Amino acid sequence: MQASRFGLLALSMWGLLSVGCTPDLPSQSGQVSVEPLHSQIVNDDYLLRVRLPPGYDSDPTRKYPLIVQLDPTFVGLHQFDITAGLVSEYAAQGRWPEAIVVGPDYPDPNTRLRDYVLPKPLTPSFSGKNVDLFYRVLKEEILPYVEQKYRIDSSQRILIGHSAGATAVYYITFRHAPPEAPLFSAAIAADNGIEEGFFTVERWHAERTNSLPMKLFTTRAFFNGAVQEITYRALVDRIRGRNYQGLSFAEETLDTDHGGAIRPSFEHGLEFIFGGGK
Amino acid sequence: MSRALPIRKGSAAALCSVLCLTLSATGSAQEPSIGIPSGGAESGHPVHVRLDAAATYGIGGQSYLGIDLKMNGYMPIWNTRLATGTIDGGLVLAYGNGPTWLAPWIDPAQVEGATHHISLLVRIGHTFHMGSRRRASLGFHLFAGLHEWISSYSVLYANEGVSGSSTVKRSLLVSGGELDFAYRFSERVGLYLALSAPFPYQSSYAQTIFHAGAGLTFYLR
Repeated sequence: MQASRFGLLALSMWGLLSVGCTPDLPSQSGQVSVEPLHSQIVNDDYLLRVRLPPGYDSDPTRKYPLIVQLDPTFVGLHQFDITAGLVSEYAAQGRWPEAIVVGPDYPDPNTRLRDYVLPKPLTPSFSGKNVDLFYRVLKEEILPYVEQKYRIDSSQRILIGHSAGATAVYYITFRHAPPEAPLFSAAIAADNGIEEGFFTVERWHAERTNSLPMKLFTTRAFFNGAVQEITYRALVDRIRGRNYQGLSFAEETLDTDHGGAIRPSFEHGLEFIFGGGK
Repeated sequence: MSRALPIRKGSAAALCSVLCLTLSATGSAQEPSIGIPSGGAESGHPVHVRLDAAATYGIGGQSYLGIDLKMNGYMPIWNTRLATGTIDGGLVLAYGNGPTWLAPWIDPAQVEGATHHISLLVRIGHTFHMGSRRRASLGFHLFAGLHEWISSYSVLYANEGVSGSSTVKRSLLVSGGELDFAYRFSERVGLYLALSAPFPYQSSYAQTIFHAGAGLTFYLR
C-alpha cells in the first residue's frame, strides 16, 4: 500500500516537472469562488472550488451540467483551471454547453492520497477506507451540497481525474450497482498506473450487472512506457469485451508524458462527452 | 591534351611542395606534453586528448544507473599565470539502465524489466585549467545528439489473469549543458565529476531531468 501511494505521489511529481513552468492555460470566463465543506464521513474539511458560468444569475430557471474535477490545484498542474478554461472557450464558441465546474480541494494537497487510492484489502462490500469512503463523501455530502446550492442538472454529472484522480474515476465508474444509476453520467480517466485492483473492481461490477449507462473516456501517455501499455491495453480490452449495455467508451494513447497528458485528455474527453461521442 | 599536361605537372609540383613543407614542419615540431603542462606555456596550439569515464546516476520518470564515456580534444587558446583556457570538442557515448529496484512503487512480484537510455552526442565547450600546475580543471560544455529511449517490461497480475510483455522505444534529438570538474593526481590519471541536464526540456520520462557522474579521466595526449 505504501509503495502504491508513494508511486502515485512520485508519478504526480514527475508529471509536474515534465510540465515545467506554468502551462499555457485556456482563459476562463464566469466567476470562481472557494468555499469550505466539512465532511462528517472522513471528519475533515474540503475546499470546494466552484466555477459558475457567465450569466448564471441572469436566468434563474436554467440548469447546468456539473463537472467534478479532482486534483483541482495539486502541485501546480492547474487541472481545475484547465477544465474551467476549456469549458469557457468551447462554450463561447457554441461547441459545448456551459457547465458548472466543482473541484473538491484540500488544505493539505497530499490528502488526495487518502481519498483516491484503492483500499487494501479491497472488499466487494466497499466497506474499507480510502476511495471506499471518498465515494460516500461525493455521493452523500459533496454532490447533495452543490446540487442544493447551485442550479445543476443532476442527470449530467461528469467526473474528471488524472493520475491518482483517474484511479478514483475508474473505481467510481465500476462501483455502479443497479437499480441505482451510475453516480456520474460521464467520466474521464486520464493517464494513471493500472493496478491489479482495477481489474478486480471491474470484475465485481461485471458479476453484478451487464449494464453501464454512461460515457467513459480513458487515456494513457506513451512515455509512461511498457508497464502501463500492457496493463492499460488489458483493461481497455476487458471493458470492450464486456459489451456493457448503455456504455459509450473511447480511449486514446497520447504522444506525450504524464504531465503532458492532462490537457489533451480533458479536452478530447469533454469533446467526446459533449460532442455526442458514441 | 597538350594544355592539360602543363597543368598536371604544375599541380604535382605544388602538391610535392606542400607535402615537403608539412613533413619538415612535423619533423621539427615537438610532441605536446600529456595534458596542459605546469605554468601552461606551450608553443603553438597543440591538441590534447582526454578520455573521461564516469559512473552515472540519472533521474527522469524513474532513476537509472549508467556509464558515460567521453573522448575529448582540447586546445589552449589563452594562458595566464594561474590558468589556461581551452576550447574543447568531442564525442560522448552514454548508457543508463533503470531497473525495477530503483522504482520503489513497482512490485517486483508483478513487474520485470527495465528502461534503457542510450546516447551518442557531440560535445563542445570551454575548460579552465587552474593552478600553477594546472591540475584542477572546470569545464562548461554544450552537447547535442541522438538519444534512444527503450522501455521493456513484462507484467503478471496473477489473481486477475492479466499478463503480457512489451517493448516501446523512441529516438530523440537531445541537447543540453554540462558542468564537469577534473583533478589530475598523476601524469595520466585524474578524478572526474560531472553534472548535466537537457535543455530545451522535452520530457523527463524519455530524456531525464539531469544526471550526475563520478569516475576517472585519462590524459592520453
